[in-house]
Amino acid sequence: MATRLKEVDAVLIGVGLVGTMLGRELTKAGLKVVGLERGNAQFTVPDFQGPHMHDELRYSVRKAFMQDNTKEAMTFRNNVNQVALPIRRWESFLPGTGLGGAAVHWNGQTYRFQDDEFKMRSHTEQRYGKGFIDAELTVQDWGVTAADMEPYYDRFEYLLGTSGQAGNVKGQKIAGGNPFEDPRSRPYPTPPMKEPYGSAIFRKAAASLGYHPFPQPSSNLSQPYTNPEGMTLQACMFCGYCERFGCEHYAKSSPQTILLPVLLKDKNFTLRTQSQVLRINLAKDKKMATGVTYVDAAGREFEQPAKLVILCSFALNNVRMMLLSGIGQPYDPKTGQGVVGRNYAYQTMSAVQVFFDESVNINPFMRSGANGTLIADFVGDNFDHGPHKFIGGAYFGDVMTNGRPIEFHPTPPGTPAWGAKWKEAVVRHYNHTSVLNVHGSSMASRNNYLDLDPTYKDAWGQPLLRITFDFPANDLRMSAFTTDKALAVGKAMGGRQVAGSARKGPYGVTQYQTTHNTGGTAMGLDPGTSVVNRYLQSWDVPNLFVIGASNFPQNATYNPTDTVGALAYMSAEAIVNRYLKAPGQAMVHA
Amino acid sequence: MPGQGYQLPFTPAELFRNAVRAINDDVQHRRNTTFDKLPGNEQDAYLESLQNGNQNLNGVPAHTFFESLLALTIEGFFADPIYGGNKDMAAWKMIGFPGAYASFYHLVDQHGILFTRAPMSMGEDNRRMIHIQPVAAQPKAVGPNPVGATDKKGGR
Repeated sequence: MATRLKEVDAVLIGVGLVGTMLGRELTKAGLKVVGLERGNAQFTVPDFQGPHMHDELRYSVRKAFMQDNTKEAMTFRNNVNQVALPIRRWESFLPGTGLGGAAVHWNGQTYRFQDDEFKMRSHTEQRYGKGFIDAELTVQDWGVTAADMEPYYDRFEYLLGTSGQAGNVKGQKIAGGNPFEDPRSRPYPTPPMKEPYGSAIFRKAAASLGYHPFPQPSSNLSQPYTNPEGMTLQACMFCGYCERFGCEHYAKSSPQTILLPVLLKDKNFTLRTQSQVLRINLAKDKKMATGVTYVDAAGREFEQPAKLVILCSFALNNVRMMLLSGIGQPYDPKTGQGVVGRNYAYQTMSAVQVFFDESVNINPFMRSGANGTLIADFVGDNFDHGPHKFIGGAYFGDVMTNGRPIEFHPTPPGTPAWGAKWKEAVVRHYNHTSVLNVHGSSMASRNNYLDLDPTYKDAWGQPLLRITFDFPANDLRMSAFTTDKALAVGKAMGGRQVAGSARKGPYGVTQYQTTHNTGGTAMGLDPGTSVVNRYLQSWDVPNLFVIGASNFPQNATYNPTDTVGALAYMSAEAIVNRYLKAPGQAMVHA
Repeated sequence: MPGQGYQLPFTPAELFRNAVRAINDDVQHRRNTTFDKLPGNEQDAYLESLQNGNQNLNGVPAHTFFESLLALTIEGFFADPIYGGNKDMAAWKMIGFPGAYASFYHLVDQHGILFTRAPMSMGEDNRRMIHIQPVAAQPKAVGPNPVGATDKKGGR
């Protein structure tokens, strides 16, 4: 029997990046807010301090910061004709847990999505005609444009202190920045990061081929910065332990360094860690949320009534919570009807390795999670897709993040996997190899979706989320095209040997790709094809807001976090300025 | 389906104990010795037969055992020496990985510089001594299928 607690104004499901931001905006507006976090509390001091943070085995290989998959995991299959099985080891993607969520161990790569990618269907049909998009793709517009999102990107980047070189301020092109970016209202808060060696070689090679290299925007900062919340960050030390690790230097923007201490001081905010939310509770008519039910570390069940529910956990968990709570119509791939779990997308990754002469010391360990140089010439619709018969694109560049040797010991194709010849090749190439990441978009397909698994349950007896996913043919064509372009730049970098191949199917969960799982609670203008409206308010339950990469109708070319943060500020502003003036009302009428 | 990853019922320790027992029995049966006493080239050949094989090693498919063995060997080889492998940071010195240093801010833009400082372990004290968890004598294998000749001769 659940203990019923006193009603609060708002409850947050998850206290990661979005939870921290919404907590701050809502308490500032005078609301009493409870934040429920399933993991533990953790802070820069003492939890992320060196030298013990520099433990590749513990954090990167054994994944100490990730969701405990002995308690809670997902199941996976490629298509509906297979039986999904639990993901028993995190490899392909790494769901975080704990206070601050995945924003503790992200890399800090901070990109805005392009206008054409917000208008994926209408833009494509306008430029290339109606039949250009493969019939299986359920690609759609977001319901917002890059211009709509600009103020929120701007505000979020100034919260993070992002380091970068603007390429377009209010329509004025600036040399050295990304010439393809949509206009930004002002430059980045801090200048770009120092350029590592491999990235400098890439820049020269890309420029020699007529491309437009620019520094990767980074939320590991190039210099000290104090954000509008009064939080001060330090300069990144290029220690090479970023992704999968917490930052000991206060240099990586994460909830702990940019906002959480401010929120935790607010008397209107209550944090409860080790609180596993089981479901969102609904009124009898299922038209309003009444709060949530959660279990604490001692196994006690509580009901936390709330006037407003913010679902702001990891994308996959957002979708699962909707399904567990019976909110919205689950997607059915047979009929194409239903919206929750629809439009699940990922990212289409490949890589190119450039093997240099032994005289070229690349020093792969002198890196940051976000640094280096890339080109956007093949991002989104920055090039003519007409002859190529696919939509979407990829950025690529030398944006290496580390040289940690358990996982980074490149050898040329044909090298045996072990033994004396393997060892010889590792010694020969470790410090003399540059890797180009090819980071590609992922289109939603009618065959790819999320639902509840019929067989497997978590430690609390609730069904696991089932992922049904394989790479759409469109994305494999995109990967073939862009990987070829990256190979050509790799060859121009002057290495002795260049290797790499495009992404090929089937998708599997045994190899790391990215943690950019998106979709399942798509935002949009039509309740027949989206779960939330353009303010991220549930079409079915107006006092429920769902925020995260689960809102993406398909995944764009760039990394998702900047867009997640911008969506969070956009939604928070709508809640504070509009929703709270007429609580319980839909802000968009279907 | 391989893309779904590891699905066997064994914990890592169980996987290794089961498979190692089967390998010891097999080498004992066929060669009347133990794996560690085989000449290097025969050890390599035996490992290759596991890598490409589908023998049943007390419930563990040979190639699954081999993949786990290779992954753990690479982990032990390249992990911080506090875990007992990578003795004297030999693997790090071999490739030029500096270990647990906290900062390369002043070096990252000195392109192509040769980094020659000795690597650093997380477990170093201020005399550069690396503290490692003491390892007790190997516990004897238990269960219905104990390790063969090594135990009978009273261990190593």
